[in-house]
Amino acid sequence: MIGILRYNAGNTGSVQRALARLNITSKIIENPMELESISGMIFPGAGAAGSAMARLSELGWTDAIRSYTKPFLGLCLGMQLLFEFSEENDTECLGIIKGNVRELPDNVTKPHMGWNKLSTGEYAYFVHSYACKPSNQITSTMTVQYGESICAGVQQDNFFGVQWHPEKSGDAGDRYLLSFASLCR
Amino acid sequence: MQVIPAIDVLDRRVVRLQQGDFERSEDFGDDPVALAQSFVLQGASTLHLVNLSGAKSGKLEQPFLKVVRSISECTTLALQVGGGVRTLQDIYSLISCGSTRIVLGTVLFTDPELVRSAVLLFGSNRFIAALDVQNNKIRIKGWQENSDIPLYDGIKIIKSLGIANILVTDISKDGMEQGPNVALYKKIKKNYPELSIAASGGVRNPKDIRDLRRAGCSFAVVGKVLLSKQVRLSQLLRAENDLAIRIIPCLDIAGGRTVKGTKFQNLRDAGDPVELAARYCEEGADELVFLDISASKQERETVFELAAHVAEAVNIPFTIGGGIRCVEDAKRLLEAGADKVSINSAAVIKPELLSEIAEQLGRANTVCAIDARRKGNSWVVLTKGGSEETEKDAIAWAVEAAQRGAGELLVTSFDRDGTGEGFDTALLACIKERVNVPVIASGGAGRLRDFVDAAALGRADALLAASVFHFQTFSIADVKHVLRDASFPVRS
Repeated sequence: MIGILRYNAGNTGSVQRALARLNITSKIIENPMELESISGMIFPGAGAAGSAMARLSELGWTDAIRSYTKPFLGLCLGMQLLFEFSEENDTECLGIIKGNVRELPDNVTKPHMGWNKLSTGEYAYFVHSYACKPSNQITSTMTVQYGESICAGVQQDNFFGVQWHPEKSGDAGDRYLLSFASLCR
Repeated sequence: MQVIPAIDVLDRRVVRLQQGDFERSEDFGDDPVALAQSFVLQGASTLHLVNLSGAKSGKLEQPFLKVVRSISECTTLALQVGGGVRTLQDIYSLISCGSTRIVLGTVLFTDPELVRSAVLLFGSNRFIAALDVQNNKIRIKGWQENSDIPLYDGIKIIKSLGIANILVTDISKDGMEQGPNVALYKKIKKNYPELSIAASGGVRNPKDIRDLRRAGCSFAVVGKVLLSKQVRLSQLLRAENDLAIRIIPCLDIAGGRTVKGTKFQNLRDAGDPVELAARYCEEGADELVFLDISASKQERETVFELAAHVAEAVNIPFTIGGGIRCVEDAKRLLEAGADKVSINSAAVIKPELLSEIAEQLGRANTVCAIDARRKGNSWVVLTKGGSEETEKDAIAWAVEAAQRGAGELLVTSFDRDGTGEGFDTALLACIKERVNVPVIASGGAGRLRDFVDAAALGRADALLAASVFHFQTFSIADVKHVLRDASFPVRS
């Protein structure tokens, strides 16, 4: 059973439907008390970094995530919040992965929206205006070219993150979600 | 990777030299400013400006400074300027006239002390070291002299001066249209991964740009091929990354069923939208748009259920539009599984609605749909499915919508909608020039080449069509095929 963290209005619906389509059992969780009942967690970030962090801390999620030891997957903003600091609303983030989050340069169309080719060769669906800059290159699992080379995925211990939307990324997305789900037991 | 158009100026005229030979120059008119403006229209953000007179004479003269100042004042371009820069005063003059970066060539090797002082005064980021290479040796003074300095010794000198941006021109390729010397750039990047490399000379087409990107170049300076109009700058800019042009079938729905008609007239039932969505997804659609044209409130209620069913049936993003009047409607759709909501008339009547939805539900989920019709030299916004004309200027409204937080614009030309005569590329290009959010082209797709035109001339990020797909005039694969043939990236 995978828990999908809901902390405000957002795309929990589309993640839940995607998991249902892939026959992965999941439920929405809103309270850290519910962590006991799940074997892994997906954190679909939605909205802006500032309000998301404020809401997470209000609901008691910040420490719960930091001390979480089962597989954890942050999507889009959910990946960005794993870092130390985001330029979006000058936000202190969870600080689990070293590095920060910067706005995309002005010479590219923002948001970076649509299907772009990952360094792994597959196309994935992106929607974002900020990008992660991990301090430690080894944590970066994949990149994508958009104005510059952008970190498209991270992994450190039990924490995984992708800047793109596996719930909307065709076969590549399905494979990512199924692989992640196979770690959650 | 950034594609940078180049303008070479000789005696205030735009020219191109072949292999740096002043005897073999081709003239492209006397208006570098207009040329720069045309590059901006096609999406350029930086211009490479070369003072050939200066490179030849070793002097920076007033007429050229005037050209720099005019371009800087008349366009939004960041300017990187070089040719004949020999003194600190030259650098200072160029910066005062609006240059963002200064390209240093000859002086790197004839006066390194001056370069050291310049870096100290203006910062190393201000400078690009230009290396003109022929047979692995560096040439100086407008390529007229051989310095006998081997390329890699030259790079070492530049590094010792603290400059990390290098522009490498293979003279034997320049203006010859034989393709760039990709192997050379690859080798430099391998030996000096910390350098940011700009490639110059020989680019012919989007494939060359992609090859340079893969070789590790950060910039590609392109001249001749743009002037001779063999390729459009907008096409080269697309090759900067692999972001695919999205093909979006649009489904009109009413009461939970797909309907077909023309201009919302003569509607007939065309089946289950979930099944049709799954089929388009299977056929390679990159995204879907559902436009709810339900007449009654009861009918409208079915759209929330539809969103949930579609989200379970397809693994691509989809947008729902039509009849969204408040934040609550939008929120319900997103929670049901839609990725984006599209707001049209409601935003025209109450623009704050866009701001509210963007703020509460995220910009990326907020699409502003604009229905436009040409009126004289401009376009006006229509509401209520095109039945009512407003006073609003469509371009100004597009700018406002993006400012208010729309993360994407869905622009429909009502002059073209249903005609099959092609997208309104002028409307699209005008909007693309003014906003920095993605634009979906809609209305008018009838032939395969219409899709290429909307991407090349209209600079659209995504192409939407309904009837050509519904009536199977051609398939999504056919559209992707012609786009790929025109060197546009598409998702396979």
